[in-house]
Amino acid sequence: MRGIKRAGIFILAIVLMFAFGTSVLFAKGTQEKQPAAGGKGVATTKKVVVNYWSRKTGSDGTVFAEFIKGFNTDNPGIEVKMQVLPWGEYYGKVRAAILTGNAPEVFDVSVYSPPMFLPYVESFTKDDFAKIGINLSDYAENAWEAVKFGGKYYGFPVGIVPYGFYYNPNLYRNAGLNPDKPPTNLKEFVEQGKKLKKDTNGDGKINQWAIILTDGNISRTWVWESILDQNGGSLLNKDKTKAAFNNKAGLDAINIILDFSRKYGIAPKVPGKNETAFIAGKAAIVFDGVWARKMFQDKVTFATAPMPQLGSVKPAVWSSMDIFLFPKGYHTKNPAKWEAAMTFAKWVMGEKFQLAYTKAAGQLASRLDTLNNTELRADSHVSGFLEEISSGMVVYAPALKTTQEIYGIVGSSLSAVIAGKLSPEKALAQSEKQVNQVLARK
Amino acid sequence: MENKYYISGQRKWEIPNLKRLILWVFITIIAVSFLIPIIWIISGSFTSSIDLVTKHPRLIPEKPTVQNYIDVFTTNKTQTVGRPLLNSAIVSFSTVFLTLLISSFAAYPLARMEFKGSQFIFVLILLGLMIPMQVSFISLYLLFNSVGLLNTYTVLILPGAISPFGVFLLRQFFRTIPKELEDVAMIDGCGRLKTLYSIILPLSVPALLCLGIFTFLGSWNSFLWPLIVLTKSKMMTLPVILSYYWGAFAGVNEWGTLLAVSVIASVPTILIFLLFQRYFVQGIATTGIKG
Amino acid sequence: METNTGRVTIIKKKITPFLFLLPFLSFYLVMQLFPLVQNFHVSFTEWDMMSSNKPFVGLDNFKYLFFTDPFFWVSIKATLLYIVLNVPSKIVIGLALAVALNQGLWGKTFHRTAIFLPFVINSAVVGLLFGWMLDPQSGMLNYFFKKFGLPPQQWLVQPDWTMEIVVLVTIWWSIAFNTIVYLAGLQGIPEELYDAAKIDGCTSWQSFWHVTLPGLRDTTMFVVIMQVIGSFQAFGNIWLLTHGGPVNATRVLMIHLYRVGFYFFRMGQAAAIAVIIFIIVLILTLIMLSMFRKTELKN
Repeated sequence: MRGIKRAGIFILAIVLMFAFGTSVLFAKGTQEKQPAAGGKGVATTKKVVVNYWSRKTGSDGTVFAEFIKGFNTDNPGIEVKMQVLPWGEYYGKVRAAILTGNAPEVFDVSVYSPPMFLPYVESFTKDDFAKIGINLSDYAENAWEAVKFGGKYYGFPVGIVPYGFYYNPNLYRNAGLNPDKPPTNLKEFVEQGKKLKKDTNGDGKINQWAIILTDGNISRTWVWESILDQNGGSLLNKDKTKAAFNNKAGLDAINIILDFSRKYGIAPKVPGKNETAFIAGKAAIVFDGVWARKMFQDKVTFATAPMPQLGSVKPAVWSSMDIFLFPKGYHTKNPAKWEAAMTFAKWVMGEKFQLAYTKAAGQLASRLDTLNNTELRADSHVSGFLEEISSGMVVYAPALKTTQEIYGIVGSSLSAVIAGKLSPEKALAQSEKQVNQVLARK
Repeated sequence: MENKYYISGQRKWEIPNLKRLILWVFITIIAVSFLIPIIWIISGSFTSSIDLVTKHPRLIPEKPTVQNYIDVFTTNKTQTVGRPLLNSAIVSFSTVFLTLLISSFAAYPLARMEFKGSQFIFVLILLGLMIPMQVSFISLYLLFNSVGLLNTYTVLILPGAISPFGVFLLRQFFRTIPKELEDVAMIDGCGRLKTLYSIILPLSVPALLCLGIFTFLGSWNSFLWPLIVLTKSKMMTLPVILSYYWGAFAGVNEWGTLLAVSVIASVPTILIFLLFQRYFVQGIATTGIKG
Repeated sequence: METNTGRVTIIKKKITPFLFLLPFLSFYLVMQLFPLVQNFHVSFTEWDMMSSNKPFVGLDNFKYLFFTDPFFWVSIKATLLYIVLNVPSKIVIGLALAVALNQGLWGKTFHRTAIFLPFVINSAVVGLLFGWMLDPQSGMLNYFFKKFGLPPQQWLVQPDWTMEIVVLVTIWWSIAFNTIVYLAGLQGIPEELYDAAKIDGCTSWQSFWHVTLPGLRDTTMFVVIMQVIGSFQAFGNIWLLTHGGPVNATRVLMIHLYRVGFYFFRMGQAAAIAVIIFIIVLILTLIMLSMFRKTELKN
């Protein structure tokens, strides 16, 4: 009998252990959920919650969150909850959330990402936009083209995010250059670069460069793709089924970048943290996205200009976009939520937000009235990017399921060239083959 | 006996004196060079971001400031660290507690009881050492989703608390405890459970501490799993927040705050280590790691 | 009554071990072995992580990895290089540090603390710290190189020596584990053996060779197996330092898996890589165990 008793106590102990080990934690979990279910203040506020996931981990996200507070006060029936998630694992998280039915009502993606989500997100027609109250002609035309797949619009182009040209006017002045005359072509770029390259402490070694090549695989690809487009080439063919860069346009683009140090000596041979060097005044110029604007603002004196035409045919610059997507599933099931999400999206696309956000943060709007705003046009921190858009030199990254992978391949070949491990010709041939393999995969 | 495993003062085999001097110089150089990066993180965290980028690097800050620390606790340029610090602490201590509990329960019969299938179970557990954690991420994610536990402490604690290594370590240790002690207890009428907590566990403090410290380190520093599984700011742990501060496109030049978060993330592990470091060796020595 | 309690005792005896094992085993089955089995299943399917159906594709994922994937063999090569650099150096250095720390030199507490301290630092902090210290343009290391008249280095930017640098950082970060295990091993060697060796007229080097090393055989087996398994699973330290670059020089298998799975969402292929890692580790472990057994028999 005693044995049975003891066994009983023993089992009880195990059960208790589980109770401690898990139920406490379960309780924690449900506690977290309660407020979302509207547990306490049922009578006072019955808000429709719109979850918005974003990959804006920088100050752009902080500024956005501030604006959302304003939206929530103006719209007492709606509560937009913004959740910023680290960009590296972002798409994986969204996909897992869609798979498991935990998707947010709205999430943002870059210009090349909608195809990853196409069957799982809502599409719109022009009529739908009219009903919501969005007039497509208020926006930069190619912005809508970027979200159009198979004749339907998937999501809202909230902002345009181009690459561009930052320079340090103080270093320009010190070098005897006119800070209002940034370079527009390769010749001017090299001429100015040679003056900007300096040995400031007299130890016989250059410690201020015109430019430092980025050590990032992807950003390197963006610079190269910009010059490739300037040479009249393009990354992929028209219907995005084959690589189209293994030719003179692509080769020249690589050689122009290599020539910065090889031929003109205006950049060190070794790449590095180009943004840090720009802030530290060790580089007078940096190629960077519009997102870097806020980061530079309180740290360094800078101005912007359209990407100079380093290639031989036409001005061009790589660009991304900030796009809102809406997962399928709640549109018909929960019309109140859908309506709230649309109210939020319309507000984001509206004049007031677009202008204020462009002024305050690191991204650009897509509305024409904001892009042409005279006050912004006069702001040297952003004017370069606005000019890029209005001059039509912006080239969007190709939107494919495999774009990230393609950039990875090209980026790694380019870094092999810069490290002197591959000849430009071989690198292009190799990445062409690999990119075609990726594109051929079903 | 009591001094046998004590780490300091034990000199079993000595190198002659002249060579000892050379050795001393050598190991001191190594020790100092091991410390430099850590000192540099600390000093950097007391330097403003802009100075870190524009001034020459120095081990002692020119103009020391605590602004970075004030920033990361208050102004939230991206995220404040107060709540994540609490989350990390809750998760780590719970993981340690659960690991010790579950592992010692599992290790005891494997070390001390004769039963059919014990060999098989032991091999099964050793198999667990060979599974890369990253492999199970998706399955685990789906699993926790199906029971509605994403974004809870459970999802952060449970996977870390199931430690094949822990079972292995404790099993090895339990086997070194003289069986007679256990027999005496059994004759006195103690059940297995009582024997475990009144005889075995008190004698296993070094091993438990050792496992506890390793588990704490692993849990506190766990990075990828929380990064993948969490989608709510409220639940985020320190390493995840660190990746926010690190966010590749923006804020990459907020080095001051970044280093401050790094220091905050490292202080608890360093403290725990300094407090318990001798048990590191003692615990492992006494487990007699033998197949 | 008598027989009844007797049977109860026997049943109790039989189920007690399993009751003790129950908490661990149930969670272990659900959270580690089940995902492993599921992973085997996924490796024979095509899955984009979003669709609810996973069409069966047979061995296609493995075929793709072996014959088409441009980076699979690159990552096998990188993994082998990592292991060849990492395992022996960490064992030798770990042993050397343990022997030195065991000498009872003046200031040993400081030495030990300094050498063990990096072990507790978060891998994200390690990646961040060295990412900046080693930046060719504004990093601290190149600043001091220049100051002392040495040529500045490219560190993690050029692919030739990246793996060596990654391994050096890894040694700094995690040598403590091996050192601790060896220190423990050294303290398990009976002092009488050294006395006997002295009487036999052994020099200190000889007694190290004939007493210390054989005495550490089991420890070494443990360390080697842990290191090899750990090296195949190495991810965080490399990912946070180089993300597998430059030019894929540090794209080890786990990094390839992570890219393919969590960046490109080809879960079938990612699972196939995991299966390959698992099988390699299993085979290597068995080989190592039997090798150590053989030497044991010889002695």
